[in-house]
Amino acid sequence: MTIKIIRNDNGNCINFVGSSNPVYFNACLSAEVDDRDATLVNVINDIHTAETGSKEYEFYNIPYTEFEDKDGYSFADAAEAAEYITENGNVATVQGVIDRPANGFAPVWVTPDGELRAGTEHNNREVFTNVDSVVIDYSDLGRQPNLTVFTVDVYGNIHETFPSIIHDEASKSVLVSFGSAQESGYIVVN
Amino acid sequence: MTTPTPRFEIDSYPGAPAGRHALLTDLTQISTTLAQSSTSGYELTGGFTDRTTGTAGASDLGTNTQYTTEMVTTQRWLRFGFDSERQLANDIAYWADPPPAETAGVGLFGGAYMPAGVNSLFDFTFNGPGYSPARESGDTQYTAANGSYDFTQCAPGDLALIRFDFNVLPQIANTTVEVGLIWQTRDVNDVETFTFALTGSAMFFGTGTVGKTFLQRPLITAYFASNEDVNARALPAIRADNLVQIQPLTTLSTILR
Repeated sequence: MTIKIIRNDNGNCINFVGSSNPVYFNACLSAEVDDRDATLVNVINDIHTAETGSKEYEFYNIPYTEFEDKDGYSFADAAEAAEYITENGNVATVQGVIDRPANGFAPVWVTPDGELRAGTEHNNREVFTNVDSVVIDYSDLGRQPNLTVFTVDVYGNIHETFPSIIHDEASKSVLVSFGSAQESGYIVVN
Repeated sequence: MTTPTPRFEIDSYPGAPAGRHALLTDLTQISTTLAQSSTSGYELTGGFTDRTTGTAGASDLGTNTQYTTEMVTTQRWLRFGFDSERQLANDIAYWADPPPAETAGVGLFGGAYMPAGVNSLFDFTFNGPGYSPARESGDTQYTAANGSYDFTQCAPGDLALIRFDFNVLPQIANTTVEVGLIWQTRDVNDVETFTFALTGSAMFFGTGTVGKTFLQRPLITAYFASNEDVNARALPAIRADNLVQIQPLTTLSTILR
């Protein structure tokens, strides 16, 4: 009953091959060494945990020897296994950050390598690729920006889309998340 | 013309003792037969070898028993045996009215609610070479365990309802747990004839259940078609397709007639 841990870039997920629950989206799991037995690993569902306020597990008290890395190698101890799971379950996605100047209302665009740019370089038809989410810092803007998001479909057509947009008043930033899919398109900020 | 009055001819069967003695003997047999044929009963125990904490009947937690990776791989049943020391320690009456009966060697109710003609439904000391050792090959594999349910004072036609109370803690999402009795029929010389898993319905633990404890009280039925069934050995067991932790708590053995 060995469980091999494999980061799946195509699905933007982590696979636990050999498990009865083998797929989890990226950025929803973390792992820890059990606090009562240092040979055991717990894998926590961070999203569910945030909802309930108590730790919600996907794997509980599993001996670290039950896990293997993507190449089939075993881990030296539970800490190494937990770190590997956390690392591969939370792969940083392509993400841009832009500061919005107080007087700047120019749209932003993202280069093919994921770099977000603003202002005069904007080109509404510029297509960005491999972007899962964008963080826009509007601390200098003095208010929440209005966002209009456009993505490109497989035929090259551009459509206005409505991804998850979460404003964080504390940090004066907004997170635009496309979910697990890596999208192409551009964002108009004003 | 008068209708003849029916008469019970006590002395009419071959070898029957004569006179009043015959009447008393037959009445005793009739009484016993009637009692056995009409009175159901039950007994409960928490005398599991693997229950080293808590007491029967109370809402105490039990002791975690690990269903291991090897058991998963081999689809081996994890049996929960009985132990006379654990029975003494765990079967402690928690009530005062009515005064509890002596529990030692019998069960939590001390035999107060046994079926008629039965004074034992659990054998806490059984250790037989054909049943107690582990079986680690073949289709029906199981772990070693002593003790057994005891139906030897029952009769063909009785129906056993075995409830196995335990806590289960799934360790991986989407785990299926099977519960059953490892049942071994034996002939009149206590020689085993057939051994198999007498299973109930499987339990499924999906996402959101991992790391949480669930009390289960599945009921397994067993009929006694023959004296080999009456002389059977049996213990509760679980089998799973993932790691799980089990806390055996109590078992209620009921005989219906």
